[in-house]
Amino acid sequence: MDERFIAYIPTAGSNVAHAEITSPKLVKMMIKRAKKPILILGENLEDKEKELIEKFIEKYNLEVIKTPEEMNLMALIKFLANSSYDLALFVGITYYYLAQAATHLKQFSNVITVSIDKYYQPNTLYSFPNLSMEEYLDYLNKLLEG
Amino acid sequence: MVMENKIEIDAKKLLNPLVKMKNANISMKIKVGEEEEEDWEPMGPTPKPKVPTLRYWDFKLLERYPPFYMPICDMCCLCTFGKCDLSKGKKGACGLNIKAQQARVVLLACCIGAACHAGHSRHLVHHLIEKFGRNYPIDLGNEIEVEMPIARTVMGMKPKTLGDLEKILDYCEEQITHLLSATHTGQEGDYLDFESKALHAGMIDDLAREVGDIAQIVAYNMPKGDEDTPLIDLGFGCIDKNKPVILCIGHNVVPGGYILEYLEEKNMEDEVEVCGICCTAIDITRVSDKAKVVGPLSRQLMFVRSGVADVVVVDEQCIRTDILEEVLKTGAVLIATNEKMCLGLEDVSHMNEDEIISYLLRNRAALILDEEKVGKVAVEVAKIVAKERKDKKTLPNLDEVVELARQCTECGWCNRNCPNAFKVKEAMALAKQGNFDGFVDLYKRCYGCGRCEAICPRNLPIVSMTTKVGEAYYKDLKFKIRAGRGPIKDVEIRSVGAPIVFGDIPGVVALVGCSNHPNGEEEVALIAKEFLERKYIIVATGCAAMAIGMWKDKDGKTLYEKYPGEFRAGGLVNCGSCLSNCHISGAAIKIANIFAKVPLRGNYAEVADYILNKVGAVGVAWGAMSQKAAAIATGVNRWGIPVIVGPHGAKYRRLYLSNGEKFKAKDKKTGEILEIDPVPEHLIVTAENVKECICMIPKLCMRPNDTPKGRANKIYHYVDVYEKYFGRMPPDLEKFVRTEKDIPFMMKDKIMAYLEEKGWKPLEKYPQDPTILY
Ligand code: SF4
Ligand code: SF4
Ligand code: SF4
Repeated sequence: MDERFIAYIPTAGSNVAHAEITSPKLVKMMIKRAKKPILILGENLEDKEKELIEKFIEKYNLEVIKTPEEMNLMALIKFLANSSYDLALFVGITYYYLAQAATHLKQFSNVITVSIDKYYQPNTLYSFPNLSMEEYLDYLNKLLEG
Repeated sequence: MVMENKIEIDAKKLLNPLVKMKNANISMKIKVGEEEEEDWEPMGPTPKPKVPTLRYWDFKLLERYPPFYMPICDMCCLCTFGKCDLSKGKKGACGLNIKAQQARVVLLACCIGAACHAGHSRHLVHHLIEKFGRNYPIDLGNEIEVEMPIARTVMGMKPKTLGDLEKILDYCEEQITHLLSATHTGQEGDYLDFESKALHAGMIDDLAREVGDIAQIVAYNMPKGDEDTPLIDLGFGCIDKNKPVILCIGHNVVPGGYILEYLEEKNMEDEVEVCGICCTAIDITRVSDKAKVVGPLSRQLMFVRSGVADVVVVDEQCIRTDILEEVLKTGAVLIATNEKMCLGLEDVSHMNEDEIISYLLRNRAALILDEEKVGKVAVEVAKIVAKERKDKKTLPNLDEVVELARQCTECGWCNRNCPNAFKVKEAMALAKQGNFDGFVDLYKRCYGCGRCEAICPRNLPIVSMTTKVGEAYYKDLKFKIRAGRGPIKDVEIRSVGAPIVFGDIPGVVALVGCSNHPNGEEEVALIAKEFLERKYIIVATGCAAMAIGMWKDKDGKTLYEKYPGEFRAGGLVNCGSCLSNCHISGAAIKIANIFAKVPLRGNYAEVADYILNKVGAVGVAWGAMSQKAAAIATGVNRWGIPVIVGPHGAKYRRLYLSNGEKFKAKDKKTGEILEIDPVPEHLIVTAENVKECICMIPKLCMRPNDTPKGRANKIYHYVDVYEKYFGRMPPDLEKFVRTEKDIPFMMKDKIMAYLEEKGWKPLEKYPQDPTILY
């Protein structure tokens, strides 16, 4: 068992299919290919991480909704499930809370969901693996390259 | 043959007049009964509703607030056709789809919850009838005439004696059986019908709790709506370790009641400490103000590990299932007292008390199902065991904590197995250097579930280490809680009815539920404080009521010492235990009845419609954990009261969320069906953190019936908390401003500027007397 590819809180991943591991390179490609991408931005980011995510948003001119400040996560997920967004990226949301919320999109929508958090999120369709702080900052920097 | 005939004839002769008399009696009774019943109220359309009777009401709610599912488990493993993979539109072997399966699990949870409360109430009523007889009266004193608003509405009856309560439980048990059977493979197949059944289970849960709480209030002479109940000691720090200590854990007052009775009889009240964890704690302090509250469920493992208790008495619900092992480790004695939790122990109920005492001293644990014996046994054993254990040390000392920490390899699995991902590894790393800051912080947040320990490859006793550091660093764990007062008085309802219904009191906030807090108990107190200062009415029960007491201001005062216990603006009302949640929905029902004269009897939907549209109340179960909490929340929802749960509440896997667009309602005055503002916006919703929860409360207290002045008041608080916690205007404010008159005067300019930017348009018309029953 490689602990990088199981849910960070192992009990959060008890579904038939778990997220495929993705990389900064693939995430960039998905954004480029998407017709209508969006980033759901939570509050639980360290300063350095926040800074890099902000640059990333700017670089890709991403539409962003901040949760919970601008919208309750569940109401937001409900909205996304019935919207024309085809790619939803998630970052900075309480781990087990997103694990639960993301299952709605997985079962009841065609939105491609991607977690770009530090920890492997089994219930989005794609996710970074579990990363150390340095590795994560490196991933975020790679999102800004090119 | 002749003989036989004769006998037959004789028997007929004999029987006939008797039968006639009996019939006459019966018909007279019925008549008297009917006349009596006529007196209080005509019968409404739905007395003793069956499973489908209120379906039409449920479907109205579910149309506006459709179920939102989060299938954390996308399989079903309930029958041997399975496991079945239900993901992405696949059906199970029985034909079930994933939505129906989620709703089925919700129904199952609600049935478990309702059965738990009904079983608890049945035990209480049964026991109390044995003790006091069926005719023991239900009398809550002159100030409470509407004694059981839920029973009146649901059953269509006015219970007068303990015997009447049995009839209510008969009904509850019948309904639970039907509901539970619907979860069997190959029964219900529609998710909305599963939800309607879950709502029915929730209502039954509410009714069963009312039975239990009223029974214990009248039989134990607990406070009957008294707003000035005594302040009770709360917290680890208030337990006198120099005395023998008896700890009661669970929810059922009966064994603790006998312990208190025995101590009183023997005049030993000051010699033995009786304390409790979870709702039993609350209920024994409603019996005697000498009893103490250790804390909520979250402190169970920590307190047991601390070794302070000499005898631990467990009854039912929310007890750690490994309690026997944990108690034995400390050298204390465990007494199980309830058929629902026998723990593999030998049943010694048939022995006399002295025999049980010597059995316990030899074997250290036993099952005693005759609670009357528990009184003497627990006290006498505690006195002996306390002497034996006087110098027994159960926690590591601080040096040993450092030593243990040094064994940690910093693998990090503790953090990963912690439901909250708390930073245990980091606390260990610091403790290796003799720095306890990490553990000090952990102590405040950790709820002692022990999952970190369960996974630690070095078998480190993390909870014991946390407890030790907490004990050493928090010297002041002494708090106060106001003893549970039970129901709200009719006179209080009369004085707050109008201001609540028109919105002048901005809302009633019910802080209830368990201890599955994402960040420690203190957040519950902070929610209470925020809305007490804003002059909302705060009501509390159970573990949440304790959490509110576990915070002090700079003068060392708890909120219970700072705010009055009345049901009025700025009042902090502790109703009591989980059973006492019935008085919260009860208060909403009484507003409909006493203030607005809505008849209750068998009139569920009209009462719920009134509450949904006019009573600005919201339930907050910040640490909702159990199936009971699921049933309570669902029951409250059926009455039309919205609920906010903490982030772990998402694991219940179903919310009721509107789409936030305009709702429709009928104006009873004109008969018109109008588009209205979406209030209350959701029926059950999670909040990710406490800031979000606080900002959601004023919004979910809005009702279509608010007068412009009332709505302006509610909007004022909504904007004000949003600015305070997020530093901005609420991003959806435009939805809740019906016309310019709803804008609070003090915020006129900035709200108008905001509304202009959003392209807001006022509602041309909105109902003066809104209803969704059309
Ligand atoms: S109950 Fe239905 S879905 Fe569940 S395992 Fe059996 S066949 Fe599959
Ligand atoms: S699981 Fe145990 S060994 Fe690993 S970091 Fe946590 S305390 Fe240390
Ligand atoms: S005992 Fe505390 S730190 Fe350990 S897993 Fe439970 S909540 Fe987390």
